[in-house]
Amino acid sequence: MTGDWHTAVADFIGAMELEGVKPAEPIAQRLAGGELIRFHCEGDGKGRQNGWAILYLDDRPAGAFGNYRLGISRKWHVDRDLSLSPEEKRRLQQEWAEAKAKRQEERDRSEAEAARDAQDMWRSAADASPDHPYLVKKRMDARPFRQAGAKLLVPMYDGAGIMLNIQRIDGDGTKRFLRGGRTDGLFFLIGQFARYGETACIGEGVATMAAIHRSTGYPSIVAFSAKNIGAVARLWNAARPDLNYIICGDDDDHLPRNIGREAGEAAAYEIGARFALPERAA
Amino acid sequence: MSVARDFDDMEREMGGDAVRAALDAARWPGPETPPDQYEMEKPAKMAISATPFTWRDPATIPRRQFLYGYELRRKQLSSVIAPGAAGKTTYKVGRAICMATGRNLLNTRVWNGPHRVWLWNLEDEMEEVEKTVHAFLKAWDLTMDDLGGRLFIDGVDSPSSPVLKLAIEDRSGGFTLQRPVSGALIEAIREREIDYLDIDPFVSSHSVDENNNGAIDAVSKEWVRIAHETNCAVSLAHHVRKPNGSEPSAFDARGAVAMINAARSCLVFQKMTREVAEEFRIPECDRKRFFSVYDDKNNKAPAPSSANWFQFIGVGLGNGDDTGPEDNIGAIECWEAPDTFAGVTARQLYHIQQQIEAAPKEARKHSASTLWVGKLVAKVLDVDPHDDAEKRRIGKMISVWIREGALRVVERKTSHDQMKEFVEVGRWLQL
Repeated sequence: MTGDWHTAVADFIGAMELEGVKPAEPIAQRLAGGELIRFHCEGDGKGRQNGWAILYLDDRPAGAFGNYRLGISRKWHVDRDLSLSPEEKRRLQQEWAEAKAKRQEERDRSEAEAARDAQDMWRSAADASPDHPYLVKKRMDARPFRQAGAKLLVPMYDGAGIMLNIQRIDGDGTKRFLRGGRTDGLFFLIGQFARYGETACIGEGVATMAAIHRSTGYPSIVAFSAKNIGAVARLWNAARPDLNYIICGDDDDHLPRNIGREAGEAAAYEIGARFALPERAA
Repeated sequence: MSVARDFDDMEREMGGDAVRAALDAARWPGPETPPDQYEMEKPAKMAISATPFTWRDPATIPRRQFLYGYELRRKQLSSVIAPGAAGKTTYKVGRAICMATGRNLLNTRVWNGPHRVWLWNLEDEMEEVEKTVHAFLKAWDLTMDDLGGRLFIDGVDSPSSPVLKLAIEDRSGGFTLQRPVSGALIEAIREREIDYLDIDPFVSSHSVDENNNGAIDAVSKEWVRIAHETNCAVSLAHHVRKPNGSEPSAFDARGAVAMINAARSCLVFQKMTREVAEEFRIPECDRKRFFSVYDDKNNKAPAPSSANWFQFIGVGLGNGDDTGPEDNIGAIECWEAPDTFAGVTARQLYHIQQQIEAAPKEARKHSASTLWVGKLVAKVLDVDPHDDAEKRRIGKMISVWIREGALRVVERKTSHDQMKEFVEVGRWLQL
């Protein structure tokens, strides 16, 4: 019967490849864990993990997969009943539980390692040069940042003010977080708070929020991604409910789903903040 | 083709002032307050004012229009709550017949009767209600002439029953009052000149969430409005929630309490408990024939001193034939609970006082004591103080005598030098 699960995993990966989601790394072992996995796909840029998949292995295995870059999202299920015996079900559940615990342990360890790397990297980095191509292109003040080689470093803090990750930005604007590091709920603050109840802005990118800070003088919080805006908004709203928040969304009008707008609106709706979107020239 | 755009792009193309203006114009993405059409419905000016008290002769104030004891009153809602099979529906049929005939057949006065009554049972078929009416007529030896065409009955299978939904739930989880239904009901009550409308059960007269206080409050108020507009009394029957072992009260009604709050009277039904049956010397096999009714929430009338007791009686309808026996239908009749003091004479109480006076050390107040005063009482009355029912009866008598002053409680030291409560003679009985 275990052979049937292996067949189901192979069928699932085969279905992914047929739909154009072609993993460029082994994923079968991770898929069997029953949790969402991210992986590098053929055609992805270096260090990118645009592929995603989740597979539930039981009497009737089913799952979903996709590719963020290609905008693919598909559901899948096996068309036969594997009819697991109670003993097989129990063993499978035990394997899942063990795999889940192991992954959580690995995740905790990898996040802790990434946090140490981030702090080491920040300590050993030099002040950012005002001539860094990204700073020049985005007309940003160099003082809050540091530089390691050609990479501009943007620290990412949690609610307790501990640096747990770093965003590295190349001269051409390519951005990377430390691999395995935590990103959820981490942020970077541009500007300072001066009074109770003042306006604060929350948005995705560091250049976007730097532009807003330049234009308005409002303290601006960088959430680094659309996915993270909600978590950062909740974190800040809980810590400083007195502030008058404006969520500044990116207009991802070019995508099938305007992810920037949706994430920003959802965060604003949730914490009762105002929402702004950049205007387009007529 | 459109491209991604952020505030950095906007600042570069349109300047910082445009970014500032865009942020100043930011709004919460949630729904705006509903605009104009609601404003049109608002009165030009809300007028709220306190009304000063002005004196008028209280004798000129119209009295409360009670119809049946203090249970039913014109323009008011009353409720009946009961566990299943406690006698609620039978009692209501009996009460309706009392009102329609104008006779006091259930130990409750019918004021200014007879009255025109509409019994609407939303649980039982019309035929079952009809049988119960006949059972009462036979039991009380009444005829159609006694009813005088003043009784109207409907069952769950009546054509109008499915329509009687004063409020319905909408898809959003809210509710809508069905004003056309109320209007039709008001018209029907006026047409038949109904004085008393009985709805059984309340839950079948709406289809909103029973636990939603707001919705139940609205439905209850709608029933009050119907009572007001038609000048009739309305009674709604309701079930109690699952019992937790304690006696039910008005606030044990199932679901939201708004209906009970809206009612001016709330009759609570209770089956006879095993303890009460023992006290009344009723065999266990007969216990379930008895039930009590008391008004747990009559906040507009004198409180009844005690519950009224009723017992079920079976009445054969004479409809049997070769194919089967006749229907034996339950009716009820009043039942007098035995008096705790039944058979106790003033002379016996005097002897009890003498016994207590003669043996003060054997007159401990608490029944757990081996020297309980109740044993002296039992000796005089010649009953067994170890019989649980007698023990309870004696305990009640002692409590009453203490309350009335014939006996009194004092604290004294026992032979073991401990302070205990004793009973001694209070005011000697004058024979």
